Amino acid sequence: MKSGYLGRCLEIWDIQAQKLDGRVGTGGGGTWPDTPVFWTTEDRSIVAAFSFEDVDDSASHQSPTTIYEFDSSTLETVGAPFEGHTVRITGLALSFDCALLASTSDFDNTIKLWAFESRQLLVSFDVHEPRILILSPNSRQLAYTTFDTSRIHLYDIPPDILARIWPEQATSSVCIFNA
Amino acid sequence: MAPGSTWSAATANKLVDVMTLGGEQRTNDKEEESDFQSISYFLDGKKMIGGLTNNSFRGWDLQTGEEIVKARFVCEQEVRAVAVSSDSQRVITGGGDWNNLGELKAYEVETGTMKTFDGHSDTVDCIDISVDNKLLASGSHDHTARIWDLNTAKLVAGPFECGDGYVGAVDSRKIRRSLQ
Repeated sequence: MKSGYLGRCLEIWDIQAQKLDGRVGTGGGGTWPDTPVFWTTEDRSIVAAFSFEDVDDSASHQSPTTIYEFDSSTLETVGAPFEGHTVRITGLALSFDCALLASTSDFDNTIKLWAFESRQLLVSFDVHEPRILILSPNSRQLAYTTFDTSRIHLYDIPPDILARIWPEQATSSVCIFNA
Repeated sequence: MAPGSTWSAATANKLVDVMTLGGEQRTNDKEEESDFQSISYFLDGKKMIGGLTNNSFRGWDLQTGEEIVKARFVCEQEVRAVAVSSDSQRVITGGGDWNNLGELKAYEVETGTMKTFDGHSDTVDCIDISVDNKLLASGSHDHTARIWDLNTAKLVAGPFECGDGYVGAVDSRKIRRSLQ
């Protein structure tokens, strides 16, 4: 199991031995609300919005703005970070197969979709104060909430974006259409 | 990455609006004021639940966009986290109010029967259910993460003391394997 808080500290616990396996960061400062942390496929790594900087309380609500992949054994960062958000990340979601990453920032007013392997920013949608987001079980749809209304918004991810993440499935659907 | 190159091409895309759930007008009346702090799909993608700051959670049929009236429950404290078991049998809620004991509960979807998981001493902010629906992980403002048996509501492992901050996120994907 792993736990993280405030975007400043990430811990991995051995549940059987009930001992701390590893930690990145020390906590302190940080954001509210928290973003989730995820194991990737085969549990080799962990994805989290994270800030390595010690930030005083006055500025801590501005970060973390960056998403990292951490090796689950060494807790070293893996590959390049996901950079693009300018202010704190409030929502994070990973597709069932870890191919698509989605993130929100309520202060930079965007929802961003990323290709996980390449770290490529696929699209950035302008949305007013998106708070949290989740992906549907098949990862073709996203749902998000906003700070200023008690509403849940559901959107289909555009087909051209899906095709860039799952090209094989797009091809097979064309074949079915022709048949 | 240099944000410039992909940015302009990327912003041409538009999200395709499917539906909006909820939408009561906010007022100055505290009773009416509510935010969704956590939302979750059912595994078939056809239903959704959302936990609210007004001590309740609600469910929707995503094929009709209508609220499932029998899936509206009132809790004692703010609902901060919701999760649905992958067999769609249970809805788990975590929450709490400032300066109050946390609340962690499991509701049977069909019968409305509710179980309480006692142990946390402050707001429960995050929950996760194991892949086999047998275990529940929770993280709290009381600086601990705990693992529970979802059937008996008994503590299985922990509390794991997580420094002097609070636990904002747990992911239980490895739980089943590590406890076997």
